Amino acid sequence: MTAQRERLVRGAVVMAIIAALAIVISLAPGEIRWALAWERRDLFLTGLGLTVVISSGAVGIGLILGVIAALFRVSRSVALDQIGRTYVEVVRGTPFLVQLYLWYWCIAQALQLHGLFGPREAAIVGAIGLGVFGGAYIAEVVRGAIESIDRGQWEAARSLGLSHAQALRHVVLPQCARRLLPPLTGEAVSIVKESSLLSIIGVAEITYHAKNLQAREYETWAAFICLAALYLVVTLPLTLLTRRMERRLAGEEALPVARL
Amino acid sequence: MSVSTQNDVILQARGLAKRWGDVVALDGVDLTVHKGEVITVIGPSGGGKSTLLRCLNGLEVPDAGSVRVGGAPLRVGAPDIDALRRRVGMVFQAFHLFPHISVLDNLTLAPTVVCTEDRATATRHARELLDRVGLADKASARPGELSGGQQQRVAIARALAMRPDALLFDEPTSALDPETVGEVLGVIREIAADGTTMVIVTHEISFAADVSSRTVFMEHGRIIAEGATQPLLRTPTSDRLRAFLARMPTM
Repeated sequence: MTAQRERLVRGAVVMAIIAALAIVISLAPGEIRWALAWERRDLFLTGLGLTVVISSGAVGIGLILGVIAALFRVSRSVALDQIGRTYVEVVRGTPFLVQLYLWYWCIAQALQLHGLFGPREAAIVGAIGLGVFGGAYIAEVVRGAIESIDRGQWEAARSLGLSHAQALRHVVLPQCARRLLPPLTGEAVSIVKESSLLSIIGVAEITYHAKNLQAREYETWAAFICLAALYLVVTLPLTLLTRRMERRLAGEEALPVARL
Repeated sequence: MSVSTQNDVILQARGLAKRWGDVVALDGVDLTVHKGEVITVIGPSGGGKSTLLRCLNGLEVPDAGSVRVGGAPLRVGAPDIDALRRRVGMVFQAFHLFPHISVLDNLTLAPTVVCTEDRATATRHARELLDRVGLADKASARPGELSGGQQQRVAIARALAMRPDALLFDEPTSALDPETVGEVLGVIREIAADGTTMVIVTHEISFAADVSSRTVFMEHGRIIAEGATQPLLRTPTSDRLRAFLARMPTM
């Protein structure tokens, strides 16, 4: 199949799916009051801004925690390995919603912060919780990349007299960096999506405003269709960027998927 | 080997034993390597040759026995392990060059990272070594752009960049196309002629015959026969060595 034909087919399929969605939306009981969403466009955009800010902060926290946890997991210390492993298992084994409750109700309360709590503090606690959550997944991505490096690279480095840490720093990690970019962008997309749960602790990000629209005006369809579309505005560019990076890496390292 | 004293012992293995589950890789192996010696280790696959070599620089931990590097015990996990490994270079069957950096940086990475040399000295030395293995013009190339034979020559230069007391070769030509085997063996010959101490695991019997002063024949994890290369290979006294040599294509 030529590249041009492939693009044509892909475009047609996307159009067909959008048309199908439009038909489903037209079946909505009663009229959809899009104007109500449009009137709140400033709120929605402010909310989207907060979503981006919180997600960025969480990605930063997650990267730091994730890389540290991954280094713990490949270190030669059993104790550090177990610390990293426990972090990853606890975070990945519990729903983010439950973690958020724990952060907001239990941990913040234990630290006696609740009297001081306003929306700003809720956003900070939420970003920290989200970062800790994302860090566990990032840790596994980074560990996977480190372990994908051929054992011979370690042996060559060690046989030249490099220590474990030097081999990691100068030989193994630089080779991981390129391979890491696509999956890490994927984790960033996950974090953006999970940030919608912060609405339940009163963080005025974008889902919070959509829920308000639904609760006050009983306008469910407009609220949530716009919400989904606005998330896509953030996540789609990231996804497309990931795909481009993957294609570039694949071009250098492997052949593309053969559709036989 | 001529007269030898304790002082010129570079590597000494005593009673090495190693099992992989039910498979015995090493079963009580002793080996002493003197300064300036070139030792080839031959024998059938699975006979323990590579395991012996990997024990000599701590890439494998023996179940029993000991290795000494210049008199100091080599213990994996001990604080001096990195310093001892620096004194014993290793050339692998699959090269294991660092693919993300240039050929020149492959040579200078270890000397600069472990701070044995400043960058200028390391670079000068690296260029000399690349010249010696005939690849001076490839300094800025990436390993992936080189042929197998060229990569292995870079790997040899990389090991020499640490100015080791001894070089270990683990089947250095087994992963190469036949037409590039010769260039790698040629480089090893030249380095041997310079008086570098080496232990070479190889299947190239004719190469072993003309490069090494001493040959060790291993089978089933034991040293079956060893001695000065020429008499050992010309008139083998061991039936098993004779049988092994008879199966080899060259000789």
